[in-house]
Amino acid sequence: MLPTDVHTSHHFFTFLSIQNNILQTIHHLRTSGQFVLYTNQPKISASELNDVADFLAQEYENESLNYPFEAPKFHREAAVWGAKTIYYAAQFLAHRLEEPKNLGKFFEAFKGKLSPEVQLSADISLRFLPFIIKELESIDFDDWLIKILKKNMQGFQYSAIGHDLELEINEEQLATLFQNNCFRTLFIDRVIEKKDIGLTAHKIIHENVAIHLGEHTNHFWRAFISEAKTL
Amino acid sequence: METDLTQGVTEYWLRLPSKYKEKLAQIRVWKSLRMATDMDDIWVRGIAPHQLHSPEIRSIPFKKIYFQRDNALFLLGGNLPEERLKTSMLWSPIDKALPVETPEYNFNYFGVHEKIQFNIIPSTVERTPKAQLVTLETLDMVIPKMPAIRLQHIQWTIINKKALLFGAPLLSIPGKTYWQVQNFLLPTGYDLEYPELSSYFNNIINQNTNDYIIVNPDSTYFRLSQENIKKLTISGYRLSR
Repeated sequence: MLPTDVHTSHHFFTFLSIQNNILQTIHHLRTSGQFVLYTNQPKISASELNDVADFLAQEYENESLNYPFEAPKFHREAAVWGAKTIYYAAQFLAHRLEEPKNLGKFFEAFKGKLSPEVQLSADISLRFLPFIIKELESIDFDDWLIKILKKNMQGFQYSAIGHDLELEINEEQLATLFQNNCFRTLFIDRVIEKKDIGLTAHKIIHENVAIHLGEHTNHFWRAFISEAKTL
Repeated sequence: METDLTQGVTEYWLRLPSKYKEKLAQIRVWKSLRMATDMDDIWVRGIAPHQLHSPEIRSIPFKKIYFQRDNALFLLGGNLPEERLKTSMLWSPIDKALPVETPEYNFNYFGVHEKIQFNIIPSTVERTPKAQLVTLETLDMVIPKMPAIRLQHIQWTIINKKALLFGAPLLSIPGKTYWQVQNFLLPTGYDLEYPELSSYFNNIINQNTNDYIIVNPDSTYFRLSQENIKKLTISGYRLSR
């Protein structure tokens, strides 16, 4: 079971008359934090994806109300890519007929620049992926799928904060992303919220966490200080 | 040039004729003082330099202030020794030497209709501020830029086009601060004139409610229902503006 996402606002969403499996799954995930699969067929049509994108845009708009500074624009492709990735990941976690080598065609890496818009839009569903990876690992640590998913998550550290997935951090790339005030604040907020002390080993993250905590470091995050001393 | 003899003095002595003993009542609460009796005089020692100019000491009549130097007592401001150092006196803490007697009940007292005003007075006791009154213009500038961790503990409400923020640590922004005594929110630097009566005042003002009582520096006050205080989030703030 996945934890409920606190940012999710509950609102009515009218389903289309034709059953849209991926939309239902993602909608359920976003509103209750639970994963429900409605079919064992890993198939998604273009029109289904279109509805998913509309739903995610709505979710993003609700959530970005709580974003600091000015929220980046919604990035449709990235959001859909994130939803697809987690949908297939859950499908193959529960039910797998395919050969491992054929899984690649379902999971393609995100093609495009990893801008703050892309990061935040993909995060709407991608933030749940680490839980699925953890599940897969507990079943079979050497699963092919884990490697694929981790590879695809490589550029999306924001969604992996606090999950100890041992993703490589590209400080240069992060520095570019951090030029966006909104993304930087959200990223550091999440590091502090999840108390991901491992990430603060990176200078750029450490600096920004220190800025966020200000003179209240001791009050908010005791462990962070000892980390600062060892640096 | 002659040297100032009072330099380096850490304590002063006070001499008072025994018959004015009651005049010491106001300094009886200073724990550092010790007292002894010598013939017709009362001696008090242990008066710190910063206490010497306090209203409590200055208002004692018929007193003589001494300071000690080389086995002699000098009158304050004097350059010649006035007395030999008293060695034979028996010193005891001043609150032991001056026991308090409760007055007998006065059956002829008619002042029962007198009333006590609800007042706040400047206080020297320092407390942690609990709330902060900030203009909305200031908040407009800072709230969208505030790290989530700083907002996490903050609650707020709007009063008269100003925002009252609750929660520690408060945000580092300009605004009037308040500290809390029971349900009272007093401006920082003030305390109730009669702290012993705080629950009595609270019960009178807050009949069957549990509202905050926000006191202005001029001792006027208003009530604020705790239900009106909400968690401060960026989205909540944006929707409220």
